[in-house]
Amino acid sequence: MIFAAEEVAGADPSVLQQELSIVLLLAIGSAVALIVKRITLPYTVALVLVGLALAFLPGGLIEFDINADLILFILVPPLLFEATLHLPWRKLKADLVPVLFFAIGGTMLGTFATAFAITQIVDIPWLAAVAFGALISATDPVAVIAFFKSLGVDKRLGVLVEGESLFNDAVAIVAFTLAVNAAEPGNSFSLSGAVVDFLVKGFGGLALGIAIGWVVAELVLANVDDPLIETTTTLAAAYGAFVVAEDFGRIFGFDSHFHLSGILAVVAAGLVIGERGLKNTSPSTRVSLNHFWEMLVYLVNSLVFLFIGIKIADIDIGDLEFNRVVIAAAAAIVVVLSIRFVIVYGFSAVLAVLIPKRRIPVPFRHVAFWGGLRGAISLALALILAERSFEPQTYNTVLIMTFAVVLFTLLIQGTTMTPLIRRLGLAGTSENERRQQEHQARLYARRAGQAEIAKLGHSGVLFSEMASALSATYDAEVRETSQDLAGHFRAHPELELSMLLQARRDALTAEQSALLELSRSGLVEIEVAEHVASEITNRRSVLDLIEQRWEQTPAPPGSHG
Amino acid sequence: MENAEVIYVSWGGNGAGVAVRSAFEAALERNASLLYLAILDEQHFGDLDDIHVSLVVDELEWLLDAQLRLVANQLNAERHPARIIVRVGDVYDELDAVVRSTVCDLVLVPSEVGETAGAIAERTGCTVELVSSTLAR
Repeated sequence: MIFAAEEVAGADPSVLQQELSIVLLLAIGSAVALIVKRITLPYTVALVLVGLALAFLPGGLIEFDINADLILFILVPPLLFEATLHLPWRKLKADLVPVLFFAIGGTMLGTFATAFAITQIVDIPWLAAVAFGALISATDPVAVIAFFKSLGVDKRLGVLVEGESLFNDAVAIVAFTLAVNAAEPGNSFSLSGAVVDFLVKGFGGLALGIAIGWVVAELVLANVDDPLIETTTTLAAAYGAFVVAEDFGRIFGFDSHFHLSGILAVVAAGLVIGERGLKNTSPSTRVSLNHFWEMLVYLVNSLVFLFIGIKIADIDIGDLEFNRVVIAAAAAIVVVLSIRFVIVYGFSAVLAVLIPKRRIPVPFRHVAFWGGLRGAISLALALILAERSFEPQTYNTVLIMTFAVVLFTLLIQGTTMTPLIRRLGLAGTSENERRQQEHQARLYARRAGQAEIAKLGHSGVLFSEMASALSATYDAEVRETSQDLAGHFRAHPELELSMLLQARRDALTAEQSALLELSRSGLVEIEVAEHVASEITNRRSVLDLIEQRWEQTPAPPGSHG
Repeated sequence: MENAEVIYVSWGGNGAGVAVRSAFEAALERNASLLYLAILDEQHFGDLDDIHVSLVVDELEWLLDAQLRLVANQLNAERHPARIIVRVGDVYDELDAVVRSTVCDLVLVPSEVGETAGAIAERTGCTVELVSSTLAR
């Protein structure tokens, strides 16, 4: 029997319509993912293009209220949390000064320099220009990090770009909020007040995130061994850190307008759980946790980039003249690129003098400059403007400038990142690594087949002549694949140490799992198993150090850089 | 030379697999045993506490031993004498100490740090040659 939507108990047609829209968007996202496997277009860029096209579909098919709250409160927290969960703290700590230098200094300088330059070209109020400068300073690393992974780029570059982005989101939001609040009637802008506000919100958010992350890592993940409960707890931590920070005053019963930085709370919680919590989980939990977050982030990213396309195509320029639209869009792109150029190259040069050991190599600077894409945060903040105190002509201008920059960075910079990375010689060994993995996968699969035939032969399911014949065929295949793998390593000896490190990590994980089983079976006391397991944890932890430092290109003794 | 050793010294670096293989081949050519000396120098590991340094030494010994076995296997030289020493400290001091404790025939240095060859030869009194860390293609 088929029910009409209204006949389903309590069903709200608008809810069903939104559900249908989500289902369609996910189906479209999957189709795009399939198509980009066959063409050389980044997934995120393809989603934006499809989103732009979707806006021209007949009305009613996809009706979804894409607003700032949806993006900032629902979609951004899991993206930030997952990014920090896998951001190696040791590597981030090693580059924390450059990262914060770019995230705080770069964002503040970028905000005001952009505002100043824009007001010289486009006729908008100073505070609206500051709001634009702030929102457009929030870089979005999703697309760039995907390129880094697929091209095997040096992990330090990924940490620098991702670290800057995670922290500059928070700085940009605080600066944006201050500018928007100051623009409201009766309010004014005070630099000292802004600094205090920034410090309270920033450090408060970080402290809250650390506290939530610590509770989850040390009280839940360390004491519970259940993948479902542990994974659910990390999801609660991601959203919980954000919600509690943003609603801090109301939850704790004082000033309902008082809030902390939700973004920094999520970043801190993710870092603590990634660094301390994941070490406290069993290998099986880690696998399910990784799968869950990978899936969630894939879904959220698919929606975010489709939304960006839909929202940009749906822009209403109101009473703005065409000339003003073109000038504002072009000016925004030129100004934002120029200021990014000055910040990246200027700050890198300063850092090279201040901390020569952590100088940023010149090719990294090119990637950091051209890889400064803008995405969900910029879009969400621009949408907030429409609800606040600027004149329609002003916020329409800011919207156009934002959309122009987001679109330019995603479509032009996003599609040229891969050739740039290759041209700079930063593409690592990923192609060789991929081939190595193919050889390994084939060998693994064929060995499994070989074992199954042997089992069937032994059990008598296969008669002996057939089992022998099949085994001989498999033996030849396994031999051939083994030789291919060995040949690949001979041709690419640079893969050896990475492979040895990975194998060692897996072997140590297996050693820990075996200890867990041993203590569960009661053959050794749990304290003994834990003691030996902690030794293994220590050994595993130094593998990161070895990978990070031993695999660096050697420099003459006593030299720096 | 009886019990002569070829010392391959490294303090990190990508492409070490190629250099290790070249070093092994040089030892085979000279019928000398290979000593792979890995040094955790101040520049890269100086900020670590003693516990971490000790753990890194243990793990690096394990990994480099496996790497050496792999290279020996690839060169069909499993029975050829080869060993790993991991030391912590100044590259020149540690290399000098190791050279003095062995019958050193040759010191091999990765070509990326070729500028150190002169200083090493002067300090140790040993012949120094460079080994490439990249494959000739």
